[in-house]
Amino acid sequence: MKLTSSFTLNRQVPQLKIWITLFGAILLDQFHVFRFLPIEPLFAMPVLYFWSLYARDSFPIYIVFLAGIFDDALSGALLGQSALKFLVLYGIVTNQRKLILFGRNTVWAMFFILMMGLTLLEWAILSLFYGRYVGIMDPFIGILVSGLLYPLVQRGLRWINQLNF
Amino acid sequence: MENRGSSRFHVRKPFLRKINATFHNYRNLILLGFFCCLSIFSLVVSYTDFEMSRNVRVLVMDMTDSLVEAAGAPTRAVNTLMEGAQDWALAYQKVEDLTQENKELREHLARMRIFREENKSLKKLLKVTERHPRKIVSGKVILYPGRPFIKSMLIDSGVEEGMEPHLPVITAEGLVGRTLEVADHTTRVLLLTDLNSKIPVIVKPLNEQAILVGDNTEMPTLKYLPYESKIQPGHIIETSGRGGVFPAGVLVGIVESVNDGKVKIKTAVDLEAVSFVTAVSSSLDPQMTNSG
Repeated sequence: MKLTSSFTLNRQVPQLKIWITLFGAILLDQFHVFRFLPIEPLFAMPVLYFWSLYARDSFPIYIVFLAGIFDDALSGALLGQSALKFLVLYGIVTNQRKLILFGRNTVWAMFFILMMGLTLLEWAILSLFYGRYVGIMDPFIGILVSGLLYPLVQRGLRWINQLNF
Repeated sequence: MENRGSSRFHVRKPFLRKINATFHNYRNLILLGFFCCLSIFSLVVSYTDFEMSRNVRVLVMDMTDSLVEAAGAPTRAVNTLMEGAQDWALAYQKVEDLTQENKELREHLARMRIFREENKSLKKLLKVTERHPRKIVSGKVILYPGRPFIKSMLIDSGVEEGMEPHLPVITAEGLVGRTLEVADHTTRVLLLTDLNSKIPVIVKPLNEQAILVGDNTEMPTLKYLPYESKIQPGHIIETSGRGGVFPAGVLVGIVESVNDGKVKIKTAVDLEAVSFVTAVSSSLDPQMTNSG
């Protein structure tokens, strides 16, 4: 299958860039940066999606796990909640690269689909644990905003990838 | 010697060699499965053994408090700048409002002084025992996760500043939530909108007891009201003081809507715009106790 993605990265991206961008995005998720928006976009998931897709050889799985635990510890979530979500995203993206990289729009569309699926998974786990209905509309709108911003995040990460450090 | 990927192990026996090759072929999947199992395990342990997950979180909070403080500086600067710009744009109106508010507050103050003296003399007559004032600890909000399934915030006061777990957290407008995990210099506050938040409240003017339950939306739900309650939009919700965590009479919010028995509450405090909060400690305030 010929890959028709608009760009490709070097297979070997310095791990420092992945560490800085991923953990930076997790920190960014903890602040109320876009206070003026009713629903805030998430940054860690697009960054994780990007590096899993374009630099999986430089992106060991333990970073994904540690990032998830770090996110859980900072945000006050159940330990393992984000870690599981991150790992499922990483697993799907690294194993379905050909499908996702079929075209520029498939990258974006698959991001939306995966985000929706993972939000549903997180919602189901929380509803199961707490034994009652957990509101899902706000998370879905948040995913929509994150999805719309994905091309910008992608552009920013491409620019970071071109920097020499 | 067969070269299998980047393996540095040289296995001679055919059976072990086969296992080594299989592991290499499925290494990523095996690792993925292992870490997924580890996540599910920690999720279950975290849910059942709250103490352990709290210790891990406190450890991370201790390790990262200065990083979080530094990383949040640009965000705070931008927010201050935006608020400043808004204040400038509405300066004239704001001065007028503040003048009016100042006038009203002066009148309140004069009335309060009269009431205080009257209260003092009445207490003397009735021989009422004085209740000792509680110590209060204030903190700046340094982190507010904009996460869909979690409603909590991190403040920059911890054990060193006199913070303790399970203290009510308030602002001048009303109730914010309660302290949850306390590190040396930071504390996590569980907001009243969080899924885990349950607060005993009283509906004014009906004087009916109920429980305010967070559901991760901006408007928590009122539950366990009396069967034939006549609750209406506009009724005031205050803490009832039952359970011992929250003092009685702290404003929580007002009833926003009543639909098919589902009562939604608009919180008195705009939780997303809070900058400073105060926790009411269970220990006595030494200064106030000595002076009183």
